[in-house]
Amino acid sequence: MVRLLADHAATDHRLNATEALLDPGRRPRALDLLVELARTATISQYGSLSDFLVDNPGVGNLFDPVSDGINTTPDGASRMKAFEAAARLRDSVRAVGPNPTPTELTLLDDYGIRLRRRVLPAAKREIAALAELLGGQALVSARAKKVNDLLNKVTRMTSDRPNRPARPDYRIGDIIDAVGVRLTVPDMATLEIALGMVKERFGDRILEIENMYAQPKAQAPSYRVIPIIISIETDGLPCTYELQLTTQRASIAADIEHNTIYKPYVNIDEIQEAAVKDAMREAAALDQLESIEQDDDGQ
Amino acid sequence: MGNNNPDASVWVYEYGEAYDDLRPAFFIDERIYSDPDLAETVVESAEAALTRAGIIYEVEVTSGKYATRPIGVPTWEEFKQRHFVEGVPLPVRPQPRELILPPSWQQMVRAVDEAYASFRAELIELLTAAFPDRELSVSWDRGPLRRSPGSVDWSEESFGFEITIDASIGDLPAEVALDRVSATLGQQGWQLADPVEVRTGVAVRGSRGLYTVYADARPLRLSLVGKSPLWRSPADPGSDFVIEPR
Repeated sequence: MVRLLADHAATDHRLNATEALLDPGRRPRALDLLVELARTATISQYGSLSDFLVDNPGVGNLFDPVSDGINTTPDGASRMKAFEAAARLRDSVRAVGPNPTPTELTLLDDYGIRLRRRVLPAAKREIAALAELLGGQALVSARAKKVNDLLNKVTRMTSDRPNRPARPDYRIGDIIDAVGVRLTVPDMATLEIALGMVKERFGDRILEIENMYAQPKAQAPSYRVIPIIISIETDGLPCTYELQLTTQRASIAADIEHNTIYKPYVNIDEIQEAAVKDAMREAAALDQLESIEQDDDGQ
Repeated sequence: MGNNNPDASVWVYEYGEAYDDLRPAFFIDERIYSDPDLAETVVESAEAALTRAGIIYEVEVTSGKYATRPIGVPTWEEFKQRHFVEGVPLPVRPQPRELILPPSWQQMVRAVDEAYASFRAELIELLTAAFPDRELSVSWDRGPLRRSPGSVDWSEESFGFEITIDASIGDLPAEVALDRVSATLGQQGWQLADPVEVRTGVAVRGSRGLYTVYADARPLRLSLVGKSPLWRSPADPGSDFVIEPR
């Protein structure tokens, strides 16, 4: 953590976790979480996270698989792809590819301005309204990509790269996270309420949910977050944003892993690497246990 | 001075040479400006400067009670003074209008993907041989990833992979489990250092060519971490890709 803080202080790579440690108001809770993750008291009693999950199945709606009707149309097609196909007919900038013409660049400039001035505030406002209902400890942050950022992503996605074959048809509109909002909640009970509220409030506007509590990712089974793609219309034009729901515990564990292992901004040795992975497993296990304990309490 | 708008925002601008590798450049705290219009003018001025420079960037915003000034990040005024008034070059380069792929790029992409598939299979076979009756699980495997900073010049980017596979060893003592996997590694040509005690149990490092492994045994579990070297595709005309140690 000291080295992550040093990296943060050097303005290289900030994290929500390091921001929390530097903020006197959020520091006590962040330290408590770090201590419990470092102790690995729960996961050390099991041979693997999957052994733990078998013995301690999650309880509550958070662990229900995403129902088919959310991510797919009745004929089995992706609702997100169907949305994008229709949106492209209404907003031609969404079809711009890696080598834009001068006319398309003008459209892109407008799109970049619209993302920041219209979509970003609207998306942030509707999630902040949910956060208000969740109580004072839910945190909201939002971000928007700008034109060169969008074009860089399209260029990289349309080219062959290791582990990622080219997607020659990838276009600006396929960047579904051009605007992103993150809602970080203090515990699993609040996360469950937040997910329920999002489903109720946004209904058909939800185009895709990936629930890593219910269905962990095969390549990173201890990573816990719920990304949700939500459609939004501003000034009569369709767009999407990605909402990420996460707990403070999962966020801190993922942050540490992100800047040391996934993107090795801070070099660590094998022993530290094992400790970071243990902290990720512990976070997943503790979130799961918290859901069980809350259910036992009748909540 | 300062505006009393309860919804005033803090904007943090992040820049870099790849959309997925950005770091903070500066921030704008709307609350220090006398009115929202002035604050918006400052935001637009900052964005115009970055756009004119052709830089890859995005913006993060927190508002109202969530608005927090990032620690250690310069303000827009400080950033502007340093880079646009004093002329200190920006530490990130603009994205070129046209992507020029290094000559061996496609061959490198294939080589990395093939090496990854082969190494992953080898690690699984190795642990299966060492613990034929135990359950294995892949606990970290994101496939080949960029292992250098993102660059607007793809010849500067290098790629590698890391794979962690766990074996549930039950009541097998950690030392015995480590001996077993060490023996199997040795049979496959891995050169191993002496085992060492670590906080959680015992561990051993090994290497074969430019690849490395680290086996870490503790009560109930043995983790085997394999790491590849790094592949890069130089820009020199006619050059082949290179494989370098980490």
